[in-house]
Amino acid sequence: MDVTIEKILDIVRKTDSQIDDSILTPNAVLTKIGADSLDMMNIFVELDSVLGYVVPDEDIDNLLSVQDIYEYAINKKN
Amino acid sequence: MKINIEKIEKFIPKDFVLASDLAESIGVDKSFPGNRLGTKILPRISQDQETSDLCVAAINRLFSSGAIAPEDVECLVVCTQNPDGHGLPHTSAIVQNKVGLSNSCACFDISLGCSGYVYGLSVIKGFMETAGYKRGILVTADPYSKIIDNNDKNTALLFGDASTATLMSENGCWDIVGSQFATDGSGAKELCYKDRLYMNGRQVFNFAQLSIPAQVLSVCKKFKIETSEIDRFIFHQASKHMVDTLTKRLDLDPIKVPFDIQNTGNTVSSSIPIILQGVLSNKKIRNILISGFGVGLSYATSILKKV
Repeated sequence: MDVTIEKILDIVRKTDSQIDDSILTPNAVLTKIGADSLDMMNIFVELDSVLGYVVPDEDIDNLLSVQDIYEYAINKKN
Repeated sequence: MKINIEKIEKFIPKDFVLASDLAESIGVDKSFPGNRLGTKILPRISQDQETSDLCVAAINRLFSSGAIAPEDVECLVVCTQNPDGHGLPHTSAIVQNKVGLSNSCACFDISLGCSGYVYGLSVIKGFMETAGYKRGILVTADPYSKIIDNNDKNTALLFGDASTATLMSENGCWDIVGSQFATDGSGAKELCYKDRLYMNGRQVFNFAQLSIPAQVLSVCKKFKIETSEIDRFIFHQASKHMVDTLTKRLDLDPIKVPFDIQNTGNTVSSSIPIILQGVLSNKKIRNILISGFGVGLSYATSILKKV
């Protein structure tokens, strides 16, 4: 499945996280707009299903925003 | 002869720590344990209590209920990964002596974590049916307080000590009609003992969220029961976040998915029988699915049916 910014935004919105939807943008740092560590787990478990692989723990700390996640997924694909 | 679940008793130690106090002491928001994990009170065994004492307390509740007398227990299975001493001798032998069971009582331990109760039920049922035993007890007791670092944010706010005793007999009215068991040993390092309890919360969460929904649907299909026919889905009570997410991923009615660890914390292999005890007394309930997952990474799902 092709990963798009909109697809990742949808994942974030659908995970019942504590993120304030009204300020969710591709560049927003997710933990600064309401996500806690457990929300991030939900986002990545959904993302892993879409990507078809588990994002390694060592990469996660650098993936702070939807844009970061998108660029990571594209680089992995290439 | 068929062996079924007859009765469950539980024991929760009186000593405890408040999860909110513990959270504050390690720099976590006070509301986090209650709101996100579902924990408020975390019971703790006292300094002079051993794992075998937890087992004895739960078994004695079966005796005092009148369900069974010590001399009638033909087998005792203890599920723990935090046994007395170093596990040699096996804790069930120590318990056998402490509660005064007959020397003809078969005793052995099972080393499993949060999948232990689901595995244990099938193990004791098969063992008893093979040996022709009419009454046996499955005990769960895994006091993680023995191995938790109270400064570890990943584990300290989650686990509580407790024990349960399940009477298995030919008089029981809850049959185990189908099960599936599985292991992903590649993830063993994510939840293990490294001088203290170590847990990679994200990897354990991923494992559960990807493996358990698939196993639940698979066991239902294999044993020809629709999920809509299941009255209660009792998942290992890992945390509120874990069970809420499983409920959502399986698209289950939350009313059918009991969750309560407020006064116990995550009690490892005792979490399912603690919830199951209350559910079994509901006369309207006929079909129950139980699913445990954790250390190993091990997972198991069974369907229980009222006979």
